[in-house]
Amino acid sequence: MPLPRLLRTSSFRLTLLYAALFTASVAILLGIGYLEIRGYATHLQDEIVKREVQYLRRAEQDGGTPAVRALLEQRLRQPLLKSMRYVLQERDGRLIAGNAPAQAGRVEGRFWFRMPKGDRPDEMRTVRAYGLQLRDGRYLAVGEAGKAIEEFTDLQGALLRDIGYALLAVLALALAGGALMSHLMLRRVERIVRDTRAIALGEPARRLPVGDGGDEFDRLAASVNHMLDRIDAQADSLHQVSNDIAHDLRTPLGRLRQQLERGRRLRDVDALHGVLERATSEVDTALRTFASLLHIAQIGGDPRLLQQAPVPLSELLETLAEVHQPAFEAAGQHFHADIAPDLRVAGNRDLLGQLFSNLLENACRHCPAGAHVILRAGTRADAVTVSVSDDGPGIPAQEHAHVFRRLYRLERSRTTAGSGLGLSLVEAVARAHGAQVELLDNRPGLEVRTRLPRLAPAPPAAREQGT
Amino acid sequence: MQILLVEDDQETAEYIGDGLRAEGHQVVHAVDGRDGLYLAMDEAAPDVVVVDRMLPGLDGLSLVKALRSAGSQVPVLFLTALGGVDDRVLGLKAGGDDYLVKPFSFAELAARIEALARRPRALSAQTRLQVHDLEIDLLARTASRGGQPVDLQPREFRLLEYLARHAGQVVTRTMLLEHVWDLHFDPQTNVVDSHISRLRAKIDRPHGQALIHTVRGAGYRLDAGADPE
Repeated sequence: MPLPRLLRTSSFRLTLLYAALFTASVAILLGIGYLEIRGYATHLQDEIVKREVQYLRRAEQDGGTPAVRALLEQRLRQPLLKSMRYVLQERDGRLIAGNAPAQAGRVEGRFWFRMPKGDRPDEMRTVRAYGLQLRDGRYLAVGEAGKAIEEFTDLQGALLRDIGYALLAVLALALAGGALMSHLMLRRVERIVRDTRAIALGEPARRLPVGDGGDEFDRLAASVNHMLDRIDAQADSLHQVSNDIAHDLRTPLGRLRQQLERGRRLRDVDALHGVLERATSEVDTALRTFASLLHIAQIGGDPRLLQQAPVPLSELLETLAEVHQPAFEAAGQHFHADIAPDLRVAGNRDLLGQLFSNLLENACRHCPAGAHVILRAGTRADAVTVSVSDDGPGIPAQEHAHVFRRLYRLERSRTTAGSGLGLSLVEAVARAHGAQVELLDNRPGLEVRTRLPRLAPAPPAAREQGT
Repeated sequence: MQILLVEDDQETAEYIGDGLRAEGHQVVHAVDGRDGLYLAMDEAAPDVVVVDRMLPGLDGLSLVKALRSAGSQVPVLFLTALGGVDDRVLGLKAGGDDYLVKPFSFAELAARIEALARRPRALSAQTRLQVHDLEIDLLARTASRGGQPVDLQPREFRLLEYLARHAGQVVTRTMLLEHVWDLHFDPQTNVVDSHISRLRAKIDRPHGQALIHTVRGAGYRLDAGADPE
């Protein structure tokens, strides 16, 4: 694998960012620790210096500056106090006694000063000190240059060095881990790229491997596979539809050709007219099929193009029931409508009318004389349910999935009138309205149940206007 | 009557023009929207304008909008190959009076043109309709034939009323569905026929002479004339 590619991966960039953040946070943590320790060491020195100053002050109270000087010289000789630094100086800055340089600044209170080390004069050491003015105007400063600070300084160096090593190790580990992670991810991504390219280049049945880990790559692969399945199904159905269209239109066109052929031999005007009439009706059938196909495509193309308006469904269904009633009677069937009042849905009145009209026509066309057909409408939860049920021959369960397909017709219906587009239109209209259409076994017969999202009933004033 | 046809497709224009002329109308043909608008506003104003939705120059919708904003009340029938879901509403909003989707039968077009041209102008002024010995009282919403009252359901009355308002004219099944039931789609079966035969049973059967005639390949006609079949 080429290195630049690895470095270009998003996971590697994330690793770099992570390493930088980690390093910064470790540095901040250690910095705080360093300041804490330093503060504590200074505090210890201040305590030592404070006690020494108190001691010398008491001597001054007892015997003035000479007593301070005597005590100081005595303490300078004590080996236990060799880390202490003393300065006693005249008002003009001249050193009277002490083991540190005179302090020209005459700082009072706590302060730091620097002086050469006793054993290595080229190196400087830092002394924590306390300065005060004596009552006769002379200046006294006591400091501590002892082990605590010395050891701390050494410790500090070691500490900083260790921190540096640790950070380097962390960085190295992070970079190595990031590179490894990126490499692993890149391998899986490249696998997906390879597979999708193969699918695009003519292996439509191929699918991405989905591991059982359920990680994000598995989910991505599963999602891509799902999409490919859908596209496949759509391509299949498109293929199916174009086959069916070709087949369905060949029949009327073939018959049309025969009739025209026959018409050419006819000399009798009336017979010729009869042929023309039949030919026209064949063409009308083909045109109607085309118009229905286009209509379904238009509705199904983009449901958002459909203008949604409140539709008084109860009234529409009452009208449809009334329109179809005589047709049922003419077929010797018993039709009954049971429609709850004031049902409203959002959508297009004409399309919904066509949907339910198709369902009623189907029931009328496919049921024998004496059958009972019932149109019911009511609400269930947030949905309006409209069902058309009959006790006719029904549709075998294994055919339920097919009958919504365009131009599909049951074997026994091949000879009856109809285009095989009725239920496709029903499905397209339902989908455009966010509705579901279900086929249920009515034992015996068929129930087609449509569930539409419900709209609240109109306020009374609007209802009166509407009727 | 004088009919202005605005249609860019030569084949369709000839088909419609020949048919209308054979029915005894005068047809003026414009091939684009601008000419169409000019001719529609002409002094010899047409009785009916038939206009295609898709036209070069000025499309059908804009043509009719311009015509209406100029104050013209001439009846307009839209022809369209689109047949989209909301096309009819758009066409009527623009000021059209009727709407027909291609392909259509010539009988359908002729019946609709006839209905548009003889549109009853003042609906409210009329309280009674009479066809031969059939009398319709629009206020009481009752009908009688030969002095004998006919018992009609409300919808049967509206069906008869529509036929009577267009007495002597051919009324198609789709026109009846649209105006009596307010349904704007074509059912696959002839549901209208069953309603007509019910109405016949009440209007015609008890009397010797039929008033409701079936016009083959077109629709129905209400008048006292003899059945052509």
